Amino acid sequence: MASELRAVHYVNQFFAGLGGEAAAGTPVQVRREPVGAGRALAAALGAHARIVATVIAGDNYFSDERERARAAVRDALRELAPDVVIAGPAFEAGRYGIACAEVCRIAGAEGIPAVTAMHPGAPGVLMYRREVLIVPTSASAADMPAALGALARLAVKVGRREPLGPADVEGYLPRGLRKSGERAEPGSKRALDMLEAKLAGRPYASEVPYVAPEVVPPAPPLRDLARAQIALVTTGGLVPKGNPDGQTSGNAKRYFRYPIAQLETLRPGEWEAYHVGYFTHLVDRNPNYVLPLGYMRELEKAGVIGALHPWAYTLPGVSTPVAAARRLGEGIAAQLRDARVGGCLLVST
Amino acid sequence: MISAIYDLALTTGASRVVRGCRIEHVCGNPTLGAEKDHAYGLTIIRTALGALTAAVTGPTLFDPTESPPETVHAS
Repeated sequence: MASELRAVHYVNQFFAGLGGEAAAGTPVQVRREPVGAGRALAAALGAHARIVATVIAGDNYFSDERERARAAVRDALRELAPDVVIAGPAFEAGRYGIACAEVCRIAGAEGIPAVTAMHPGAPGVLMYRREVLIVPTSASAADMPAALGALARLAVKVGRREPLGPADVEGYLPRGLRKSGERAEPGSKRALDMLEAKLAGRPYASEVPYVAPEVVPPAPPLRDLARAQIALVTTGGLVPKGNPDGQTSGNAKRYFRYPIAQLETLRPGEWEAYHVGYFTHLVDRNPNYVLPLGYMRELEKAGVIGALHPWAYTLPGVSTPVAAARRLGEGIAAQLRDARVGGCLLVST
Repeated sequence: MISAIYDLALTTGASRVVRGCRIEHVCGNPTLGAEKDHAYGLTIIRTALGALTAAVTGPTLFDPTESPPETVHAS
């Protein structure tokens, strides 16, 4: 039988039984025993792991004295040298959930496996789900027994450094990682099995989870086009000839912006499209097909628009995961907003 | 946004979608010859700028190949 793991548990002032908001300024302290919610966790861990110490901090302390709190937790973990760190569960709590996730990150940086638990909508999940193992819980502490059971099971597994299976099998929130693996059946067979199940009305699980597009409320209409600054953005993969910045032809990690203030139009031979998703020869001959600079200059001179924004934003919009596309789009939008751009034409190939 | 795959843009929730020509030449059409290509491209861009000034409540298609509806006064 595997030997008993040494676990350190992190809880806030409330779940340690020190008090509510009045005790939220409690500095980091260490007790060499299970405390508060940790006693039930100890029961859930059973003979597999023993809680050798509890690290406690007030929610406000951890948030307001961030660097001090982090250093104190790190020092405690170095001294205690546990096999695994368990934080929470934090349920729907904002500050506590973030603290739990940060404690797990500190443990990770020290080479100690760590796991926490909270509601999938909690801020800690939104901030750290890619870096931290998080067991989903309901929003309320009434779910404590179930949450502790799931948390304990996963803690023992990572504490023993056993290989971790997929999120839905092991019971943690997906971190957005893909791991290569082998399946018994080839893809064609699995696809046909899935189709057969669908036609027969039997349940099946897609191997490519569908992420519904985010609903973005439309921007209000531009009131005065003749005074507005308008920007051009393209996902057509336009780059200066020779692709000097080394942009990829797909699955872009970055976008680039190029100065166009001095240009009347985009000339062939000076620009080209670098894009794996369409035949680019026509755009290479007339780059204005994906970045209509020539037309915009005409309309600017005619007074139809106030001014053309002096930068053109470009990337190849192909094979880009939704999360990456969102990050890139947010970056472009923030720069346009800072430059007081009133409207934007995005040309998509 | 201006896109030749405008139905995809509408399905995925883009608010103001302008119908482009083809994936390989979204803002124009080289088969028309230089003069008509230019006029067509300009129409696409004017339509796109017009879309920016239009109030929309959800994904809406603006089609540069359709002439704008004439206003009829019944008086």
